[in-house]
Amino acid sequence: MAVFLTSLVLFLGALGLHLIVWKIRLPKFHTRTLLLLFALVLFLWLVTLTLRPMSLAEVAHVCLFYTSLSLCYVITYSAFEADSPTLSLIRHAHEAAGLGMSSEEVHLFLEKRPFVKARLAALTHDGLVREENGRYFAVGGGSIFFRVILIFRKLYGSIQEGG
Amino acid sequence: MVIWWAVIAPIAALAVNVLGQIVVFRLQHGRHFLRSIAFGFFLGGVALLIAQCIWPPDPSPIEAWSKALLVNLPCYAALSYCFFNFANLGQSSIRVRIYAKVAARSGGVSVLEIAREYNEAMLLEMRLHRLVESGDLALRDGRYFLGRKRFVPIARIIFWIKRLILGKVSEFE
Repeated sequence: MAVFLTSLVLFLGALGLHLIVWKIRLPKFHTRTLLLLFALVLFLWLVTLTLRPMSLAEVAHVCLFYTSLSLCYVITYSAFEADSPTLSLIRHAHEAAGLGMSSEEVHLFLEKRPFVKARLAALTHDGLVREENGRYFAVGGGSIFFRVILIFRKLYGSIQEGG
Repeated sequence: MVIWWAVIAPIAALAVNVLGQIVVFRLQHGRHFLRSIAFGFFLGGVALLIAQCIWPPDPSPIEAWSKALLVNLPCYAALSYCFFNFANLGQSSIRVRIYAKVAARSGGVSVLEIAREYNEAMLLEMRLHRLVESGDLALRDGRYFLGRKRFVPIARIIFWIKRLILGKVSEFE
């Protein structure tokens, strides 16, 4: 029970800290800052362990549970940070209620939300690609995370082109 | 070793989940991605329960077993959620696909090439077609209406959280 409660309290504490920091000022790199915040909370807890000792296995269990919850949140956060075209459209259709939307209205709505351009801008902002004379180049070796995803994709074999 | 079993169990279950998903997905020749994810999750869940059953931690087995399960079940679910998103990124994320394309070419990729493959208008048509096919949007007399409402509560929650955390409901605001 100690493992469950400790992990939960740590996670809620990190969420609270995240909300406070975000209310004060939105960071430039959301995901990186979020990961740092969650790591900081875990580190502080590990430092205070000397005051209230736990067995090594319990500490590892808390670390595992807390990390899995934190990663879950960080992943879900990306859905808050970037718009989902489907959910945006559903929300718009819901607001239009009984009137519905004409094809032109739908196109206009999505024209104002250039999702591909936004994703390209995000890649540039995160320093993963750079634009030079209308061409995009990968920067350095790229992020480890992206490289791992690309390696993992190969395990699946080929996938369809397009979005 | 017994004391560490509770920690190892969700990781072992995740390994079973990942392996199961990859094998099933490959056996189905890259079709039914979501079905393979569900199958992997189920397989890992069974592995977790078996792990808990065959080797419950001592000294008071039932109590320790239920306590370990209280942590390990949500822990396994959380790890599986992470894996699903990770695998899904490689499958459908526009950002990852564009990055993969750019990283694969030392000479870079032109804006035109990206625009050709990820044509906003074409993606919009595909999305609209998918939403109409699934019944989430209904096309009547040339106008789009909300069909099935299954995404509405999800959208509501996400937009509410966006407003709470980011202070806006759209990245394009």
